[in-house]
Amino acid sequence: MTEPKPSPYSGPALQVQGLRKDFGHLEALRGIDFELKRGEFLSLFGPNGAGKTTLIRILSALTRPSSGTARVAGYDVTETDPEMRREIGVIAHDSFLYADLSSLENIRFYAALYGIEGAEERAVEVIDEVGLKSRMHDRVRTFSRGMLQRLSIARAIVHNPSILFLDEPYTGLDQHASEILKEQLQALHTERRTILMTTHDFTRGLEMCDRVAIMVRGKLALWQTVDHIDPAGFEKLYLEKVEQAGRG
Amino acid sequence: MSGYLRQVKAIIWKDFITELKTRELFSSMFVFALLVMLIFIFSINLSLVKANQVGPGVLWVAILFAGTLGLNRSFALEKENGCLQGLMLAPVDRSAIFFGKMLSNLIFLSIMEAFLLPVFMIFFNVEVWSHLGPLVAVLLMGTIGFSALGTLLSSLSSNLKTREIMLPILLYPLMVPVVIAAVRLTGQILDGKSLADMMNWVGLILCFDIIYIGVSIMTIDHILEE
Amino acid sequence: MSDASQETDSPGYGLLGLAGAGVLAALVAIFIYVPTEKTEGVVQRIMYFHVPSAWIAFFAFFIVFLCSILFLWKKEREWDIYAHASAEVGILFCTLVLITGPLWAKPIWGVWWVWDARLTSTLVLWLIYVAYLMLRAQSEPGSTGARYAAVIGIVGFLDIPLIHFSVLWWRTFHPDPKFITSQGLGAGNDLSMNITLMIALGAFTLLYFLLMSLRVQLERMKDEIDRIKKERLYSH
Repeated sequence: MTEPKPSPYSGPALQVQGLRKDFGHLEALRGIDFELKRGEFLSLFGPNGAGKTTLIRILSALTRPSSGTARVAGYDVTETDPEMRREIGVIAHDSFLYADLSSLENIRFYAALYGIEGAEERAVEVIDEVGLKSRMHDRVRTFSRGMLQRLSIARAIVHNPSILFLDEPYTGLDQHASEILKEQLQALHTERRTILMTTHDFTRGLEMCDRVAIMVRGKLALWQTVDHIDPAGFEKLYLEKVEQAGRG
Repeated sequence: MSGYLRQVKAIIWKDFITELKTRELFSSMFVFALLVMLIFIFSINLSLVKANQVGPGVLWVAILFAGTLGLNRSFALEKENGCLQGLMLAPVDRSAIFFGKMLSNLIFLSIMEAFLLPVFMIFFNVEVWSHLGPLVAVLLMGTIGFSALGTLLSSLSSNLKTREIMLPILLYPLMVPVVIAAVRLTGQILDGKSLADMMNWVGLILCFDIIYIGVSIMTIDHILEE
Repeated sequence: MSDASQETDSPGYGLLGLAGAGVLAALVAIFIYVPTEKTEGVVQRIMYFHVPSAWIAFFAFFIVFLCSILFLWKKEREWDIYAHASAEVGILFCTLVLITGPLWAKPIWGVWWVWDARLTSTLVLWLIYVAYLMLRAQSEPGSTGARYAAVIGIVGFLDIPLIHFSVLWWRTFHPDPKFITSQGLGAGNDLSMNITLMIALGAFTLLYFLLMSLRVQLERMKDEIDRIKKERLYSH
């Protein structure tokens, strides 16, 4: 996998302060603070509806925060600088791929949107990297969930972003597909690339991260380096944290 | 600027490839337009009224209805698999997304009109060829206005629960000036009058086109942002 | 939040009294003071409701337009509330125009409805703002729906001059000057009639502001309830 280009910006990749988001009378985020250094891998755990997806949507400048600040690669997300968008790649539950186009056409389209010179070659390159070269000319509609997820990765890294957001990438994958995804994520996790992944899978989440966070009801209930976490006792810790925050 | 144009082109190209592969949009729009015409022909007695008087109205209603079908489909395509979010993630100016979608809607509609016109000529037994120039000009002006406002409103209604219903409810009352002007102009042209005698109507449609392209550029950010 | 609701409470009563007095004065002027018009008879008195309603409807939609722009620009909830309230009040007066118009037209023109330029554009206007309110009712709470509505508020108002001219030129192809001159106050240049119209216009304007303030207060109450709900949900 290709490395992101070295960047003159040396500050933290993600800086989040007092981040809040409400939808009517519901609050998805209720004051989130954290910082993630360049090259770190954060696994974010939390029950459904904890606000994980909302956090990713705010960090990728798809949703505006109600209050608080979030800086991504030094850019304020509310300013929606196009340069910031070049720094991030997102893999969400939806693939963001056009079902009636082939994989090559999809990736070439995104490469063109990012203004990449030689869009065609770059598209072929990333499709090869995720191991779908043999299916390059097939319609995306015919793809299995696992292949769709891999093509999503190709789409998200076509512009070689320095920050990756992954929203529950393991959901709906079989063991084999999940193993392939793991290998690819490991290849993507380099010194210059920061990754934030949300997941419900404790083993997958803990096996390659540097930091662990648990989010419950719009707040961070745990923020820890992975060295301080005992994988065997994590499930118990998680349930405890969720229970605690649930009671308030 | 060349980057901007390249992005607009990429969006149009993407819509074209999709259409070439599926052939869903064009066929449904065209067949629907034919059906609308047919129903109108059944509901009016062509032996009592002059074809030149009712024909233009029927033609434009068919274009309007079929166009609405196309608009609904156009943003439904972006909604499947959350593609619109993929577009939003890219460093693309929101107005480039608008222009890309508007131009692809405009081109699809124009192609459909090109096929519809001969059918209209046959069904209503009107002479079209000798007035082809001004007629195409009117069709284009009206269709630009329809595509501009239609794209803006379908980008908005595609996020609603009842998108197929809300689009025409929002769009049709706003389209009244263009419909009246286009029907009037088409009728006069078929009667052999020259466009130069009806510059007030031409000006009205052009005003509409300019106002709504301008408003769309200014407001599309607020619609696409979530 | 509580400051804001207190602020609206106190002028509320003043406005209520003022609007009440205005409406009373208008009723007196319309039914007692002004003489019956010679050619149209007693029916003509409906014009003193019809014309101010039309004026207020346009004014209300203009306020929607202004507040929509301000909302998209400043992104403050306040402007959204004003736009929403004004659209509802505007629809109310626009509906009154569409009801009083045919009521007057039936005895005078002999038909309930003619495709007269002004009637037609009022109907189209009514449809645009009904769509606006439908959109408001359908979109999810939060700022997304508000932004959509603001776009329609802007797009809709900009369409008014275009609709006006298109409908006007559309009708001139089947001219019927009698309809056009007898519309509005064409018949009466009488001073007492003008005075009555002015009083009615003043009363309706006050009524508009009263309804606006009530509607705005209601919307603020909704916000307050949402806030309390939120507090309840997350406090413990």
